[in-house]
Amino acid sequence: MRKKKRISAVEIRKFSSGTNLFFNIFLAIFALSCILPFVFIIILSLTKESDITLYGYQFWPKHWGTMSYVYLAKMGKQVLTSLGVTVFITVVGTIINSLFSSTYAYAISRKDFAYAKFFTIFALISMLFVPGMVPTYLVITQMLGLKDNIWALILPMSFGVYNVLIMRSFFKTSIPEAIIESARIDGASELRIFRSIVVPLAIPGIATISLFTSLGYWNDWMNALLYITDDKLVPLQYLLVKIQNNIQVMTQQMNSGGSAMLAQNVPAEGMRFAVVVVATLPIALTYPSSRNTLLKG
Amino acid sequence: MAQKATETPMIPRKKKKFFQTMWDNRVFLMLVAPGTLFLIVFFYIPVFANVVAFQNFQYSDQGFIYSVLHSPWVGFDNFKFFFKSADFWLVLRNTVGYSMTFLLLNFFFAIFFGVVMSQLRNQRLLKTYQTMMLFPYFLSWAILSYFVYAFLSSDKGILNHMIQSFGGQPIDFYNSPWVWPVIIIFLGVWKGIGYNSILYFATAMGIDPSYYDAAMIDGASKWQQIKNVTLPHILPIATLMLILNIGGIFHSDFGLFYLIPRNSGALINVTQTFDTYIYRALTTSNDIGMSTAAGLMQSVVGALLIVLSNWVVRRKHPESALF
Amino acid sequence: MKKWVRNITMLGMVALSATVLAACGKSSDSAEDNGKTTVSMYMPGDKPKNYAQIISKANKQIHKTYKDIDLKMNFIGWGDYEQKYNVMVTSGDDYDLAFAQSYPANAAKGAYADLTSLIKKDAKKSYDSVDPAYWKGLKVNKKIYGFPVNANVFAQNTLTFNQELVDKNNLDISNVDSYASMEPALAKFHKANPGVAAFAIGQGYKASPAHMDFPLGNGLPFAIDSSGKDKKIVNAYDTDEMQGILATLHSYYLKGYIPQDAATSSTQYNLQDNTWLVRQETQGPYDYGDTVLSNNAGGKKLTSKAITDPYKSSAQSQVAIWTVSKTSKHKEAAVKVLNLLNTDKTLLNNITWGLEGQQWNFTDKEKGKIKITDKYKPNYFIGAWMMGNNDNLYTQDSVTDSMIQTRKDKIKDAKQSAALGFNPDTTMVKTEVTNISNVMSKYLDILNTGTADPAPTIKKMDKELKTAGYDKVQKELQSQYDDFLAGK
Repeated sequence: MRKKKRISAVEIRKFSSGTNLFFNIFLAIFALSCILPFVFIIILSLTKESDITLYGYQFWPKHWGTMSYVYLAKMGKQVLTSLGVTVFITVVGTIINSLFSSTYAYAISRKDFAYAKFFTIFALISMLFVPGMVPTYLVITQMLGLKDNIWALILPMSFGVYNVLIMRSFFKTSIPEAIIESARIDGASELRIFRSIVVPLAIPGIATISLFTSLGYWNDWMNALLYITDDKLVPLQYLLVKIQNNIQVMTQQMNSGGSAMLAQNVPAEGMRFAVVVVATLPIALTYPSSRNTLLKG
Repeated sequence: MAQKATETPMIPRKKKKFFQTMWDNRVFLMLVAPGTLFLIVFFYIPVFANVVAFQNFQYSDQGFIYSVLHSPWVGFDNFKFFFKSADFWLVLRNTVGYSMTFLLLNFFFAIFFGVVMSQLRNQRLLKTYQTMMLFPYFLSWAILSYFVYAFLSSDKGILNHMIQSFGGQPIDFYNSPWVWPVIIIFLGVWKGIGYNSILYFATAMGIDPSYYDAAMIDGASKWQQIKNVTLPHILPIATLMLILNIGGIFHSDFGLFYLIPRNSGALINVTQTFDTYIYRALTTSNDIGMSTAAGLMQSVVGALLIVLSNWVVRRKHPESALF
Repeated sequence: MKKWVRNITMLGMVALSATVLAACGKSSDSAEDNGKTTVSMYMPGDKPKNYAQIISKANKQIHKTYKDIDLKMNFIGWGDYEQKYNVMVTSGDDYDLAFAQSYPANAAKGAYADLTSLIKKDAKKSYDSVDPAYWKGLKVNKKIYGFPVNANVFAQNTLTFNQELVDKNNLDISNVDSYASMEPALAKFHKANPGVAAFAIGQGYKASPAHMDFPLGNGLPFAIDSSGKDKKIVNAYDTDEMQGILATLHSYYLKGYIPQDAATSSTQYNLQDNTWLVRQETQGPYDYGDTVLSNNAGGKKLTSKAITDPYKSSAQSQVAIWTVSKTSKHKEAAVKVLNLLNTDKTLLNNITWGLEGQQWNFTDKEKGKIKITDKYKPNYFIGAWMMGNNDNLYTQDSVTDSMIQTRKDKIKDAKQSAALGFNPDTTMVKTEVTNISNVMSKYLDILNTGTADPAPTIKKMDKELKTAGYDKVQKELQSQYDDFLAGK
């Protein structure tokens, strides 16, 4: 019964079947172009190392090889630890960020908050200027003492003005003032209104910013570069960036005549592609489920 | 609707004591408290270090803060390098030119894809498309540069193989500035679509179906529905994004302009933007004064543009304005 | 739904308060526990796999002399070191020892502790054991801000041939002593193997004139004649020698000896692979000919031909310098550790060769001769060139006494560059230097890899350099150089 109603609602707002087919084909082609690079990277990670030097990056290598993954498997423990770190900071960070960004946004979206304008501008200013890497480094290492601490990966991104603005716009457009007013007439406190009326209505918005935030956390490596030296706290993306940077700097060192000075092996080139595969698949494959929340609000 | 019906009867605002107002707003203040604390710690405290843009920074043995307090002031000396550069106009042209193009194209395509996807019938297929479209977002420019290279490399690239097999002359892409504006714009837009369209897609999906019902009853065609129902609902968030992006006009995506053309010297005239310029000019000197000055300049221009565009928006459409 | 929200809210609150607690609890990581001082040392590279063993052995050795000093090494990946180091230095981080980057500039800005008197007090013996050229090269404003690693005090750029491919293709390389003289070999090789890089170079490669010092680094055009005959600061790319070299390289590029994508390529030509015929390397006396390089290539046979003259230069003296932060709380202890690293053979060799009994064993303890085991692998030791006085290194049996004697003679015979110790101060012209380095970024790669025709390209570059303020910088450097020569 309920299901039937849903379908008809869906039908109403959708394309007619001809247009639908057209856009399906269009989107399919575009979507294919989007995973093409990833397919290419999987192939590269399976290309025999010397093939890359001799023939360049190819879509269909002359020789296949699994060396990159063998090498990666040797790092297996580190990769697993890093995956754990990344998942932890993504989950915790996303929860904190979405929560606090939403509460902030809700407050400044309300007309009867006396300081709404002040706090709007207070947040906006921070979008306009960049505090700079060095002073931020000082705040985190000296003021907060978070060197080699997992919170150094979470806190710097635990609030987002971008998210606040999205949510503010969301609250303003999709939560009618009338509902809040009537709740208040019924004697509900502000906190209660927020908890039991506003939040449930805002789930799609919260889901959207959570998605953005989690992508941000997943992709972040800069904070790890600055604050983390302990292998146990290295997130996956930083592991990847580290390998890439190492390859780049060491190749340059070799190209400019310093081969004798490298007391370690330059990581195999295919290695960086193997790590990309490992670092991308988990989050990309969890997207469909997070998307469901996004829609079912 | 705008009746003021609070628990305590309203006394005239002006006469109210400051602390009384605070107390009345305690719930809201509590809601903004965590974010405020964050902004203070991670923005308002460190942002003051921007003053080094006006200093000849000298180290001291008392740490950074002492150094900042005791370094000599040099006025706008640190800003000079940019204005004195012969490339000033070129960099400005490239940065603003590319940013404007991206602004318009990203805006258009994100909304287009967002709306199209919200109207699609096949849920499962849609989910697959969206997942696939998000992949480029996860690949850094560094990784994508190999992908692009596989196509464009002068002797081993796929594109040149194709040109040759049709009897054409191979093109040395990394030495041919004329193709790069197209490549850069194409890649920049392509990479962002999946991510950028999420917001509009979610907004469009959040529209109450009864609006469509009403439009249907009025006999509106699909296009009219989109024009009269979907787009107006997207407008506020689109305006917000537009204002914010205008503020970023002096910023460019470093990786796209530096890594994708493989830092090729021959392409600098079409790939040099503000960010690559700063990087190329300052890596050797690592001068905190000059790099802060460069960042500050970008910020100030961005701030002015945001204020300006917000002013325009507020005159036309006050509800969508930022402040 | 409500319950869910409440739970999340609670979690957030708890998380935040936990953070605050963590932040308050861990106010600073000052390392004075049980009366011991921990000297923290930052260096580039990956953490060795046997780090725990290496460091415990090292500390045991240190305690024999200094009971209350512990050493802790912190490794930052090669690719990230420069960025992280810059942030640490600029923010006034209180590291005790760090492997220096852009030493002269940071020293001039006052980032390092002045070690002049500390070294004389706590590290006199190590000071004396280092080649005097180093101390000359390190002086900034007449003070010493770092401790050098005594190793290749001079170095020569070489053209290094892949002997296996040389033999296979019957190439004659006996007369190679310059870029131009390897043409016949390249030509023959390229004809037989068009797919393999004959002269394997890529982005970042710099062609080397026989005797030139680059006081601001070879990314900028300013050059000085190392022999001292010419006292002028010149634009390296305007000299006949450099233009000749670049013309040769350009002809190689056109003929296909140099990979077509060299200016933008980051292709890895691994030493041990047969993907290249010739490459450019840098070698010094402690490389014992091609011994070290061969070792790095997994025993592959290589033949190197020197193309530059041996001069002890500022650049070479600054290859590996340990500096102490101005804000360090353990300056004295840091210098004491440096002292040991440069005098205590057991300490040094158990870091740079890995551990005795695991990575290596003595064959002759008296003479310091060792044999490496099959556990001696990359990531099980730390490069000697960046740790301590290379005079104190044990040697493998393959390094004969006569080779050691040659090394000593060579070092004695090598002349000091005229510009040794010339570390110019560029604060007065930093605007111009910045713009020049931006101009150079357009031309460095296409010129040095032979991609561009040098004559017209250099003309164009010089014009841009002029507008960027080349003359002003040249004048400033020249006057500083004149003063420097007068003060000698």
